[in-house]
Amino acid sequence: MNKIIVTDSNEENRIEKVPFLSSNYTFQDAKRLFLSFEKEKVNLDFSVPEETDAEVILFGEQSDLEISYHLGKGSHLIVRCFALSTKGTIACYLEGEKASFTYHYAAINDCDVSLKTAVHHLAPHSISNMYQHVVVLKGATTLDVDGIVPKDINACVCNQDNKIINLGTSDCTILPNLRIDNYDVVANHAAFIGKFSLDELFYLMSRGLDQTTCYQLLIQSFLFGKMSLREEEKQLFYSSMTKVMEV
Amino acid sequence: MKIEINNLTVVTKDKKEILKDFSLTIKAGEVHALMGPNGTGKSTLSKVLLGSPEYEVVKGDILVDGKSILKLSTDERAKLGFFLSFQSPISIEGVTNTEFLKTAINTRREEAIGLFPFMQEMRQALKDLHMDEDMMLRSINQDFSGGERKKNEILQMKLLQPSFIILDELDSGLDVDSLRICCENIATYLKEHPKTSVLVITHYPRILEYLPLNYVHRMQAGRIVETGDFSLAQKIEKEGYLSENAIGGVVSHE
Repeated sequence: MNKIIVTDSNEENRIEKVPFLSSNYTFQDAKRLFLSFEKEKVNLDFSVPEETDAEVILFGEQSDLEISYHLGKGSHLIVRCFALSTKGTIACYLEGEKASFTYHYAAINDCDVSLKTAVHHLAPHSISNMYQHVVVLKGATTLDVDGIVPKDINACVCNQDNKIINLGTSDCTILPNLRIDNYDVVANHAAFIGKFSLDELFYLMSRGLDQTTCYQLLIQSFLFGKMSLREEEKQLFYSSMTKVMEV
Repeated sequence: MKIEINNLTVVTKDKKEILKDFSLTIKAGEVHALMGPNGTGKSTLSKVLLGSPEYEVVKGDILVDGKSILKLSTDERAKLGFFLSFQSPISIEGVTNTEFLKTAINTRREEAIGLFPFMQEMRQALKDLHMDEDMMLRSINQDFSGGERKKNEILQMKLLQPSFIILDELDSGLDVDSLRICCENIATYLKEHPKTSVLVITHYPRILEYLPLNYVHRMQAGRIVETGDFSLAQKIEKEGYLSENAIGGVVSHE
């Protein structure tokens, strides 16, 4: 089911009737958007006006996402996304000074998946922090992640943290690119492809948890450990994760 | 619970021999201490007892109340009543202590523990160990100090109620007060569960002063070479492992 729930600044929820599979959306009174897609091709364009704080929570299953975020001066956007075998292209444009983008992407893939993510720093003092953590059960996953700071844009922070736990046999790839043309920039990247540590597994099993439960806990920790999920998001994300794991 | 380790020879994945014909029997309710220089196989023994896949048992057996447990997996040994307090407990971000412990407790019970009784037990255990209640909601050992991690191990022990406890260098990283608090909790647990067996792996006699100790064993090159009482621990503390007296005093262990 495809749906969007909008939460305004008074924490009131409403379901909006918008043709949301291909649309532009500007945050005005909305504080938080919750979107859910299943087996859809989605083309979305979000704009966060000046001095606005906003959150996007996105759940996608076997979908193809093409999403752009445009952030105005002094705006803050946090995106929390959980995707199951979902490919796509994500772009963020930090257009205003001191705009800040925090992107948490968690995914479980059981087929070939390619995801392209790019953050464009188009104004000084803009900040981006991207965390992309993927568990691969089957198939090959490719994460292509760009952080771009042009020559005339200074005092930016551009960080990316990309990790793949590969529980399958296909090759996975991370392409972490920091294209920084300015000297006055803080930029970090981490890229890891591997398995869960045997020490972690042994520790959990030594307390009586069977291997399947241990893997569930480790995957939950790996995917959502940094996300600060709300209770309703936890319920959806965790139950979807458990369903995939059972299969 | 009676633990019999008979002529155990253990190798690593690259076939390096760590334990050689190691034998030790711990009867129900007994507290044994194992001391020895670094690299002699003490921590390996603790992991082998819990069935770590890092090691291969090439000879010998481990019996619990007369039955071999070599074919049991790590979680099956834990459910049997084994508990290892790790020398360096790992941290797992995103999984809270509460969530983890409740899941672990439920693996040992036919009927799942209710949230209210669980919270009551947890709060009491935290109080006993002088730990803050916010530990319940923190991720497993995440941002814990060395001492907090060790206390967290004893918290888990209290809630999981094992019948065979292995303490692998509990005293490393604990200040004197925290060590006393942890040991008092273990001693109280042993009074309440008198058939519980304990193996304490340590370098120092101080921890042994707090526990109802029965035997001290000195380990060298993968096997026990000397057995005694608390005075052996004091002798090791005074003379070390390399002194002439210590080497000359080796008695073969039967």
